[in-house]
Amino acid sequence: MTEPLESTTGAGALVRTLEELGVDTVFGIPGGAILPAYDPLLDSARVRHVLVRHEQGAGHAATGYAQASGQVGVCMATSGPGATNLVTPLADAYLDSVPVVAITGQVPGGMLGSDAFQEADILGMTMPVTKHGYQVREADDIPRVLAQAFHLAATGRPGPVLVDITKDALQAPTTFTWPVRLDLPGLRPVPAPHAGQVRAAARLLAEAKRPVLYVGGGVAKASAEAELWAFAELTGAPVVTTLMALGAFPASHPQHLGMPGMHGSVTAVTALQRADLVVAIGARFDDRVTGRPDTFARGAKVVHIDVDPAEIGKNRAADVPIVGDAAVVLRQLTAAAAQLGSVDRRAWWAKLDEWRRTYPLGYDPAPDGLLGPQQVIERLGQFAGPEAVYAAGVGQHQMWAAQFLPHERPRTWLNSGGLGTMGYAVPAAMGAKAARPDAVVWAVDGDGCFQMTCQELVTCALEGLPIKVAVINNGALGMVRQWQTLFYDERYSNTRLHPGGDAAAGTRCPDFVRLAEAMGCYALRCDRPEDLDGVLDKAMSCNDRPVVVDFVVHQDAMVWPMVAAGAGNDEIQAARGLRPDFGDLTD
Amino acid sequence: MPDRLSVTLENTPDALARIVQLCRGRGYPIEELTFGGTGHPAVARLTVVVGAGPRPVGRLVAQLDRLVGVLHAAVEPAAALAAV
Repeated sequence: MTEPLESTTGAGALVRTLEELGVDTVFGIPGGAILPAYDPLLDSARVRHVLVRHEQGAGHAATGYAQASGQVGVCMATSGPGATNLVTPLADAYLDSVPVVAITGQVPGGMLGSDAFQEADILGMTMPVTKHGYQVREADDIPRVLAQAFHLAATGRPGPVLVDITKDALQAPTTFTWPVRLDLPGLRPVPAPHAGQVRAAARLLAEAKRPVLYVGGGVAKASAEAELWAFAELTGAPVVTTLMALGAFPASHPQHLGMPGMHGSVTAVTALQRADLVVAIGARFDDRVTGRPDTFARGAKVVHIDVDPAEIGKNRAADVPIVGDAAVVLRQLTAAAAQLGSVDRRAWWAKLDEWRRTYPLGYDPAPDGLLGPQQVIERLGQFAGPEAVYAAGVGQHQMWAAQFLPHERPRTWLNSGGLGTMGYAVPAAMGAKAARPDAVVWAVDGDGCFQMTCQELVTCALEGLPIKVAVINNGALGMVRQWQTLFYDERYSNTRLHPGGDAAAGTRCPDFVRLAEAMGCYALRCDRPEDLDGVLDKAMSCNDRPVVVDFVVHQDAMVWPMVAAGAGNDEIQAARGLRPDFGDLTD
Repeated sequence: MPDRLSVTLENTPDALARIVQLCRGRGYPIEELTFGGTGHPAVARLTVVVGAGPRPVGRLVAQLDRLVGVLHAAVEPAAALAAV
């Protein structure tokens, strides 16, 4: 039913459309070209605008909002530099398939192509890093194009969509009517899974002696956790969850082997290497998972389930390809598997259990009197628990957060997996807190990452978004330094973030406590193991402001296990120089 | 051996730009490009000849086919190229 026409402007239609689409939060910064949109936004009772301090923060906040809520995240910026500052978060959301809509102002249509003030061809420059993009030059088109953008962002394989709107289109008079008819002739609906392929996959699984379910972020995107659980328990197959899928299957479940990949658990990595069947569900055989691709899971047949047909066969040929929504495919697979028995897999589980016992995740204790970064992260997870939401930056602390936080529930682990965007954690946590105000939201950040986007703590303080930030301060770009230790003869070129002197003191430049206090946060420092619990207690009990804890940790801790870049996964080292002894599988 | 791809797309400059950018970004050099209308004003046809890329050309077609502005993408049979 069409509602009566409302006379308004393009800007008014933009805000009305956001309201009708159910948008409750927009992260952004006004500027010249987008200014008309901000006027009606002031009067909207349904759309909250969070005024960030840098557009990159708006983009990552929209991503964090989307990852924590499952809804489309929205960010807004003006033309030129405002828009170009969104390029990094758009690329980030693209590689991690996060539904985000970015709305940018553009110079008036008549000035396009004239190198006008704050003109940038943002549509052109974001083409490789967005699922789709639009430039709107007519006020009448705004509701339809925005509705299409939201539909595209959330449909099939999710992703970011750009809507660039010229200033004159925002200013022009128009009428608003809702709903609108979408015009997307090129959009293919998600197909129903091919029944024959589903049966073939179920048969392969029933016959497999050494299967592994290789679960990727697509399961979380499809909210297919319950379906995965049912399928895994019915078939009894072991499960590995990638960095993007942590929480999609409870880490404490007895069938869970951990995370595969460069810093995955020995058991998860080796299980894939020795598998005779890999069932990939919403996973893309990323190089950080496979290591050298020609050595990855060489003896395995592959069932590849993905909503995006272009992913199937991209990095690894599939014996049984299944295109479809993960939840739908898993339901059908479970039904098909229930008709079949399965072979005896006790030998496989005995081997897996032996690896789990022999090579559990762990870490060396820090030198006497010093805090270990892994210890901080593990303890933080115990204090905040599996119901908290965790966002990580990128680097060593990210891998330790992946290894040692309690990943039990969906949508509680926010992470920049594909692009590896340092600076992601603080704004993503901010977005998650806006989406889930009742949840405890922790950003686990490095001192390098934190200095890239910490200005959003001002936003958090002023907008009532009391996130908590653990700065794992080792005074170094830790992951790069680890590679320099291992592969560059300990030549530490430009990875030191502290001013010199005491290498165990993290960095005090900046002084994170004073910096955080200056941004309106409650700030604490912890540099002794005996203070850890007390500091975490204080951090957990402050809920009226953002909290920043400067955890000063020793700089020589390294992330293990590790598969060196370019090496095959059989070369995994459980610790430095320690290659596990797997023996031979006899079946 | 170059491959000739036949693409039906939305008749907009944006759709064309995305296709060209995708070919470059995925590592397939464009050797020849023909863009023209069809009987329908909203639909255009593109023929693009690409040189060898890092992966079989079918991977490029799959990437093209998922673009929102692309209605259909396919590799033309080798004979079609030989006849040119």
